[in-house]
Order: sequence, then structure tokens, then C-alpha cells
Amino acid sequence: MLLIHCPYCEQDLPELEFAYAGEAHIARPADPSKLTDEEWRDFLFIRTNPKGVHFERWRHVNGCARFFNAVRETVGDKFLATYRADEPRPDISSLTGDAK
Amino acid sequence: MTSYRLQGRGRVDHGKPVNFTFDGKTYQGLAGDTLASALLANGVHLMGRSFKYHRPRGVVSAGSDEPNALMGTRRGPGRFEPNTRATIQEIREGLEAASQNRWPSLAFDMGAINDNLGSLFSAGFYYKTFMWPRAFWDRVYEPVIRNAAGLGVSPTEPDADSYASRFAHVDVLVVGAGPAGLAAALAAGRSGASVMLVDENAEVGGTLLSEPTVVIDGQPAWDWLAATVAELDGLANVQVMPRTTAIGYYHQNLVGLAQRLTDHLAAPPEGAPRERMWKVRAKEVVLAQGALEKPLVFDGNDRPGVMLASAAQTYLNRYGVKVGDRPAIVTAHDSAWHAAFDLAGAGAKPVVIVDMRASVDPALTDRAHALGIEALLGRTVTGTAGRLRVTSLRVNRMEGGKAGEPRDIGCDAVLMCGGWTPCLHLFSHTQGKLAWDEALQVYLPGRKTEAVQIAGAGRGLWSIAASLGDGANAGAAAARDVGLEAEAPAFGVAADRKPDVLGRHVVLEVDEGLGLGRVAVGQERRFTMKRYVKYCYTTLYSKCASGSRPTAGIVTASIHGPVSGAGSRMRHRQAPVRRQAGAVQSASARGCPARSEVRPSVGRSSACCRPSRSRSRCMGHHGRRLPPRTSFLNWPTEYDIGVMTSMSKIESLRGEVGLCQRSTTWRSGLGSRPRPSAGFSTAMRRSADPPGTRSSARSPSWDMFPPRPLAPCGRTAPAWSA
Ligand SMILES: [Zn+2]
Repeated sequence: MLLIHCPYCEQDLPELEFAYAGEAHIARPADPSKLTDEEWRDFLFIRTNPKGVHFERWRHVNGCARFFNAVRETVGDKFLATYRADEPRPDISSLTGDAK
Repeated sequence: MTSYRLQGRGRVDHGKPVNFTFDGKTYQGLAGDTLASALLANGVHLMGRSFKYHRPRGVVSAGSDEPNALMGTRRGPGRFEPNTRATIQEIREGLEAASQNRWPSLAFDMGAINDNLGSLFSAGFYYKTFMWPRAFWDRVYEPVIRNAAGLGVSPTEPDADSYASRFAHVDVLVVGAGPAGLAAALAAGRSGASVMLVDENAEVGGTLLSEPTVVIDGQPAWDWLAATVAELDGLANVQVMPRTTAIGYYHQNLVGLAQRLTDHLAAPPEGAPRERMWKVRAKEVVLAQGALEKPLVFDGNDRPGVMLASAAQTYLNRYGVKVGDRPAIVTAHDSAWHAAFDLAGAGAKPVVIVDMRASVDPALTDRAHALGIEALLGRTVTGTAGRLRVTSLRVNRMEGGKAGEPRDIGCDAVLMCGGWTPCLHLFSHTQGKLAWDEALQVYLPGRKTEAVQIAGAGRGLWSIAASLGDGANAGAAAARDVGLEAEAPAFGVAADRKPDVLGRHVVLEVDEGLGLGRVAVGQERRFTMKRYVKYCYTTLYSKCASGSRPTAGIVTASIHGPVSGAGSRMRHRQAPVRRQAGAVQSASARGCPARSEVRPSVGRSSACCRPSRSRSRCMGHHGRRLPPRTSFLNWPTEYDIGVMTSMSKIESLRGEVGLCQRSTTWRSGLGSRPRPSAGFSTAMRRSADPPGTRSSARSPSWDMFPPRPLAPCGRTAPAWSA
């Protein structure tokens, strides 16, 4: 079981308290009605699903219940960083440098 | 007492006889015996039947890696346990044990008639013969195989026992309490770190229990052991837990432990839990799990009386049991020579030592001659004879890589040793890579992903002195990593019979000599990845853990060392654990996501089934209730065919090797599973895909098993107790 750092509660807490909530940093189109069907499909469903570093949303559902973002390395299933939802995405190179 | 028990020898209590029954007959053992050692002391070698061919089987090992001596044990209503390893179960007054897979009796078994239909049930028959048509799987093949292949019977009554669960947070968790583990616990414990030392055996000591002649710090091994255990017990920050198996190594140094609490007690306290599941979060882990002895491959190596040389040594030195009066030794490693010398010293008359190597240390041959044991070098063994017990051994001279003229040598036991493989299963849970060591011809730990140290034989170190020193260093390093000042204690060791490193053993030449060279037929047929070869091979061998001892070493050696492709790992677990204990683990350690979207994950499989790899993720535990305790965890709980094979199977493998994505390993539990699960059939179908389809076309990689939505498991949080 992973320990996940909630940036609001500022504690390492067991994975069971959290829920995964999909890829992060996917902005909703400003005017959905202008999109083609393909673009709308891409917005709704197409995700990067990378092997390696992945930006994703998590929710501390059994705690403060708030959403936050995380950087996770999908091969080793290791969290490189977690940060509040309103913060910009961190620099990957500094994170992976720390991790290796 | 029988002639196989040596008075005053071993760690058993000669003043405390214990009565138990095996197949309805009452036997007497001694306090401290396992079921296997007590039966051997009574001259009983025939302990079971194989699950496919119903071939007679005897005990092979002296530990949790036992593939053959599986029995049903009983303690009143609701307390029947199938597939108990006789080598692990300690005897207790009134223990009832029964052999499995035999009808009407162990000595005469109708099912063995299958053995003569070997060509029908040939190697790989799971994959070949019953592959087609697909619709037949559920209705015809599976029930038939299920009946024929059943391993033990499921309990039918509700489990009367209770099981407990507990969390722990420690600085250093040491797994394995042999010389390396004890030294690591000493070093870390003296520094003030909180230490947990666990060992799956009934007593700690590991190799020291079988090597009483070693002298450590001026004391005989067992005195040193007692003093060390006393010191550890005296440290408030150290907890020593025997009978505790580390069953899984999860993220961030979370280790699952299954502790057996009452199975060894004649009268368990009222209301005491039978087992306890521990979830330990450790800052540092030291893996000191030792090495496993590899068997040798020859026709009839599954006959009762054929066992590992180290097992014979353990039965002799630890339990005071002679496994035979006229044992023959077949080896490719020095260690078996010492087993022969120990047996000779105990009054047995070893008839011959057959070494596959062309030359060995002259000291060994001199000693053998002095003891009157014939030593044959550069020979190989091609067969054994005997119905319910081995009676002779066929030895061939090696001539240019071929087996030459045979010679039959009478014996009443065959002790084999094909070298040793470091036990790195837990390390492999962490996604740690194994690295092939050319010099030692074994896999050693490579890249690490967790805060873990490997000590002792797991790193290819062999002598007790080297293991003690390495363990002490690992323990001290672990304590320093958690911010404490620690010093590695030094140990003075004398009379150590082992060389410092695991000696290299021959394999390649042996393979040729046995006509096994083309076990690696896979290589010719695009199975350039050793895992494929391994899987094919383990279909025959399906050992306790297909990646454990026979396969990783022998197969990769037979394909001339490590092959390019995916790094090798050992299979998940060597020792099976009851699901009751595991159920707690599966609910929480796996952390079932209750959402329809699974977070992507590559190496350690998806979110639900760590630590398996992605292909084996979630063997159906989502969306259905866990089955009752009758089944084992889905992970490798392999028993049967074990180290055993016969030339006909090997020939058959060579002729029709099939690409198998799955070994039979985890499926062995199927005999005792109440009904087919979704996981079972899909996995089987996947394995039945013809070559070229997705699972076999190339290496398992990220895109082969894209994450797919799983149904919410709908399970509520488990209630913890104790
Ligand atoms: Zn929170």
C-alpha cells in the first residue's frame, strides 16, 4: 500500500484514503460547441497513458475530500511529488533527478 | 525407537515422545520433529502421490520448498487443512495426517494407471491436448483435469478458527534468521533501532541448525545461537518471530507477514487466533533468505528416497534422522560431499558419490576414500529403479558430452545436489532486477527500487563466516540509514566447511550428457526470452514457485547464460499461505480502487494486485467475494510435479514444446478451489492463444495489457481485529 502525501493535510497517509481521479492538467475547452466531434472525443476520452512520469489528479476522499495533483512514475508506481490543484505543474527533470 | 533415529543427536527432545497418526496408523516422533522428519525416522518415505500421474512421491526437501510431501491434517471439526507441507508442520500429540491423491491406498493407487498412459498426458498437456475446441474447456476438459489433478480435498465445513491481523512500524525488518539475518538483527538491535526478525521455520538459526560443527566466537554453533537469541530476546527494541513467513513485499517497504500461532500446539488456548497477518512498514528491510538447493534432472528423480542432499543433512543434524543406510550421492557441488561425510559419521554407509564435475578438490576425494566411500568423477546419472522406494541408481560415464556405458549401483536413498540458487523471491516483488553472474552461474540481486539490503547467500556468499560478516554490515548500514550510529560486529568463525562464495557448479555439460541440451529448444523457436523457455519448462516442473530453484538456474544455464530480453525475476512467492490470512492482505494491501477508472501502472501491475506483473493482475478478486478459506492465494502455490520429471516428459517437451504464457503454477490451487473463477478461464484461454497472437508475439510490455476498467469491487473496509 502506498503512502500518499496530501498537500492540504500535509501528512503521508495510506492509499486507502485516496481515490484516483484521472489525468491532470486537462483544460476544459472554452467553448465546447465550437469543437468537432473528434476534438470533443479527444477531450473526453483520449489520455496520454504514459509509461513513465504521469501527471494525475487524486482526491483525499476519506480525509479532507479535496482534489490535488500528483506526479507518479507508472513503472515503479512511485509518487514523485504531490501539489495543490491550483499550483503549476512541477519541473519533471528536477523530480526524476531526485528520484533516481 | 527405530533404527533411523540416532540417539542423542539433533535438536529434537529425545525424552519427549509424541504420538501422531499418518493414514490411520499411529507413529511416534519426538518433540521438535516435523511431520516429515518423524515419518522418516519411522522409515516412511512414501508420503504422497503426484497429482497428475499419481506417481509415488517421497519427501524431497526439509523446508517450505517441499513439492511432494503434502498432506491433509486434521484437528477436529472445521479444522481440516489440505496440502500441509509435512516438512513445515511440527508434530503435536494427536496430530492426524493423511496422504493425498491416492485411492484406494497410498501404496496401491488406481490412478497411477495414468502413468502408463504417459503419451496421452504428455508434457504440456494442459496447453496442447486440451486446447481445442475452446468450448470444451468449461464443460469437458476442466472438470476432468480437475478431478484427475486434484491436490487434496477442500474442507467442507466452515472454518472454526479465528485469524488476527496487526500493523507494525519498525526501523529495520530482517527476513530470514540464518547467520546473516541474526548478525543483521544483532548489529541493528545493538544500535537501538527497532528491529523485527522473522523466520518461517519453527526455530531461528537457518543453516546453523544443520551445521552444528561450526565454531563461532569460540563456541559451538548451537551455543552461539542460543546466546545470540538470548541477547536479541533481551533487547527491548528487538522482536524475534519464528514461524512467520514474509509473503509479500509491497511499496515503500510494506511487508506482509503470516505468522502461524497455534498449529504446532497440542492444545491451543481457548479463543487464540490460529494465524496472524502482519503488515509491517519498515524504514529499512534486510533480506537474508539464503539459497535453495537445486535438484538434478534424471529419469526417476521423483522416486521416494530421492531427495536433496542438504535435506538429508538437515534431517541428520537437526532432527537426528538417518534418511537411509546406504545412500548414494549425486552432485555437482561440494556441499553434498559434506552431507555424505556427515552420514558416514553417523553410521550410514554411503555407497557412492557421483560428481558430474571432472575434477574436485582432492581433499574431498581423500576424505571419501578414508571413509570408504567410492567417488566417481565426471559421471552422470540417467535413472533410478524401485517401486515405492528407490533401490538402485544408474550411473553413466560421460563421453564427449554423451552418456556412456551404464552401471547400476544399489542404494536405499539418493541424495542429489545441482548447486544452489539465491532465494530472491521477495526482492523480485520490489521490481528489483536480477543480474546474471557469469562466475557463479546464478542470479544475484541487481538494481534495487526500495530501501532494501540483501545479505548472505542471497548475494552469493556461502560460508558462515562470510554470511555473518555480510549480515552484520547490512544490519549496521540499515541502522545508519535510519539515522542511528551503528557498528558491524565482527565474528570469529572456525571449522567452517564452506568456501566463501557459492561455488560454481556445472550445468551445461550435464545438460548435454542427459540429452537435455535442447530443453532450450525454445531458443531455436524464437523463444529468445528466457521467461518463455522458463514457462514451457516449468509446465513440467511446476515447482512451489516456478521461478525458484529448478528453473531459473537450470533453464538459463541450459540456454547458455542470460538471454537478452526482459530482465529475469523470480516468481512471487515460494511458500504458500492460507488465504484466510491472505484475505486481509488482499483487501487492504492491494487497495482495491472503488472507481471505474484504474490508474495506469506498468511494472507492478495495476492498482489492485501488486506485486504481480501486469499480466497477472487481478485474478478475478474484483467484483466477487473472496472464496472461503479452502483455496490458497492465487499466486504461486505450486506443488506437484515439482523437481520431478522423467525422460519421457523431457523427450516430449523437446518434441512439442508449446508456448505457454502461464505455467501451471498458480493453477495448482484449482484442485481445491470450489469452482472455476473468471480469472482461471480467461487466463487459460490466453495461454491457449496460438503463437503470434498478442500474448506470445513479443515480450510482455506496456502496451500489451492496457489498463481496462474494472467493476467496482463493492467491498467495504475490512474490520480489523486484535
Ligand atoms: Zn487531505
